[in-house]
Amino acid sequence: MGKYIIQRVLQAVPLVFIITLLVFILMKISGDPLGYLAQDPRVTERDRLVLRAKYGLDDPLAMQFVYWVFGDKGLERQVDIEKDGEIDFTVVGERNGIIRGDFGESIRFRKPVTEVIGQFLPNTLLLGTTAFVVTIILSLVIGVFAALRQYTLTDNIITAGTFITYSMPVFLLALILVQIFSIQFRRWGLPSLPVSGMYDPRGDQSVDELVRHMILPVASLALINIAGWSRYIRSTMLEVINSDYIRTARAKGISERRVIFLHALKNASLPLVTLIGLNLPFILSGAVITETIFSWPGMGYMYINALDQFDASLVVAFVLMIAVAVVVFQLLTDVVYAWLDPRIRYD
Amino acid sequence: MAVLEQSGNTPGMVVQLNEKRKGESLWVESWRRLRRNKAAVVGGIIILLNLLVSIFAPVIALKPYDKQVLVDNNAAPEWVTKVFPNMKPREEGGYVTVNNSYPLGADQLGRDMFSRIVYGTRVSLTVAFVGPLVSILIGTTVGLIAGYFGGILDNLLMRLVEIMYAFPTLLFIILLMTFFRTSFANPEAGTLAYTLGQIDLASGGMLFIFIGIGLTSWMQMARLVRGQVLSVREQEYIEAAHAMGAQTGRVMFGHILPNILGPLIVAETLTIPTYISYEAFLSFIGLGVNPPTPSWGSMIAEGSRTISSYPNQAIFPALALFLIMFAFNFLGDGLRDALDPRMRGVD
Repeated sequence: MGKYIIQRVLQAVPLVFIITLLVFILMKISGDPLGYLAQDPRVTERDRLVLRAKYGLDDPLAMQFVYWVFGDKGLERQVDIEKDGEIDFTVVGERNGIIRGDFGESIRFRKPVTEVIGQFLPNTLLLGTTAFVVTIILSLVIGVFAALRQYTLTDNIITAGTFITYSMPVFLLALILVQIFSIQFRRWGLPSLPVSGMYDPRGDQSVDELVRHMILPVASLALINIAGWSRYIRSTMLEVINSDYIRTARAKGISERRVIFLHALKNASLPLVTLIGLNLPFILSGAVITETIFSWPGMGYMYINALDQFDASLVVAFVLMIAVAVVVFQLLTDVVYAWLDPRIRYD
Repeated sequence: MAVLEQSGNTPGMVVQLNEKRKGESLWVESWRRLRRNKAAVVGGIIILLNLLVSIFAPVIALKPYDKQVLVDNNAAPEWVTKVFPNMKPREEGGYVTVNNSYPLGADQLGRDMFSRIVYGTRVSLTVAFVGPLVSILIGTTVGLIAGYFGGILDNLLMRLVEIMYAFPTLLFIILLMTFFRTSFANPEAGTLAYTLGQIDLASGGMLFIFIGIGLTSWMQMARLVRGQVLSVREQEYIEAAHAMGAQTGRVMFGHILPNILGPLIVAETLTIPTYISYEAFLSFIGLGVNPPTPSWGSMIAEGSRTISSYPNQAIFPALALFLIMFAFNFLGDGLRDALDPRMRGVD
């Protein structure tokens, strides 16, 4: 087992390196980061050169990558404006490198990137984790319930329902929810739900308010996922129920409840580990569509905003963060899976 | 349906490999199985109808899709005001202009919603049928090479797939689209970037959508093809082909490819709804087709801004989107049952 973990970690390291390199290349081909200064009449040629030197934009590409990753703190760059061999001024590098969490400054928000992410990430985590937990619980319940009643009317109704929700674009689901629970409920004089943001700008920032604002986005996120997941759980559950060891367990006279929950569910939830592990990192990225529709100030919302002005350092930090998270969670999933299921070979 | 017609041509190829009767019966029997599946037939009919609508759009649409009649802005026919009770007509003290010459109403600029939805079919169906081409092209080639040659090449290509998998698809597409839109905006005439930009403009902004979707979704196809090739590679008829002196290319494309076509078609049909929703989402956030080309995504975006006053403007295009995604899901599911009976009953 220890050997297996070491082996998987060793596989992940070059993967993370290549992803970092790719993201760097993407950042480089996306254009001049100081291009936006070109039209500004207040910025002199000298200022521009100082900035270029500060960010090391005239260094060889390979060195730029090294400085970007490991930082260039204390590195002195000499600038010669007229190219006459006379050094006009020296600029000292200040970056700590992304390895220490220094992604530079966001143009859009005029703050360090880490601060911007720190501001939006909690909102996304709140929304995403809630929806995730709701999805797991409800799809387990629905999936097992449908599997135990295979091909009955209930199962068919659930199947049709999941199929319809599964094909539903998240827009439509969100619009329907808004139409019913916000607009029509208000018309009927029932307590209606708010549709945008986290808090009412006029009201207080109480937990109560927050929960009310969370219901609709969480519902649309969860409903879309429940459709796919419950189908998946239903099929793994069916596979397990029809296997020999369940028949043996029943033959031994164990109560049906014990058979289902202890023997069947335990084995059927193994693939669920993979599903959870592969989907967890995407909580970080936020649900771009849902956050946009409900103006939820999370990572997806921030990402779209950052792209509007092509805020390169923010976009890069964001994409890199998600990609590395995917690799790390994949690794964790594999290890957990190997630990849970001894049938998996470690080589 | 086009997918089916394509597969209808393949018996010839299969006949070369298997004995005549057996080769034919695979596709004939699949077709029979598919026809028996009511849901798949309904899905197929909906897609066919949509295809007809998109071809005959100029005949079906009553008004030009981009003609703005400002006096009729936000107008709605009588039945719409009945379905959405909060849309009270002006005569009854409400705010809605009733105009029955618009079957589904008019948008904020006074353009006929019905015509726009009819023309929007073109965008969605083009994405549905052309969108997969790029991903099939890249994915099949990579998968065939990796599976057929194995060894270091296989290892390298599969690591590449792993790296690509680490990037979240939707975020990556958004990033690519922003990159395309900014860097191909004003290139010099005569360069490749200029030509691509011109083709994109001529296609109403669709080219970059295809490229964006293709570049981010070929990995699943590559993995599937590789797996299939690995299982087919060792079969006797491939060995026979080799023994008869067939060249590598011929074995790969003439013998292996036709025999793994079934799962490929199924997988691609099942991903089509994802492509359609990607386009809708890109248009929703303003990175999709260029205005005034009507896309359901951009209509939903425009409509959702006035969702509380004019719900019809967002709900109708969202319903159209839902219908086509639903149809492709049903057809794909039916195709899977028909082409791969082994997977039946499990899901």
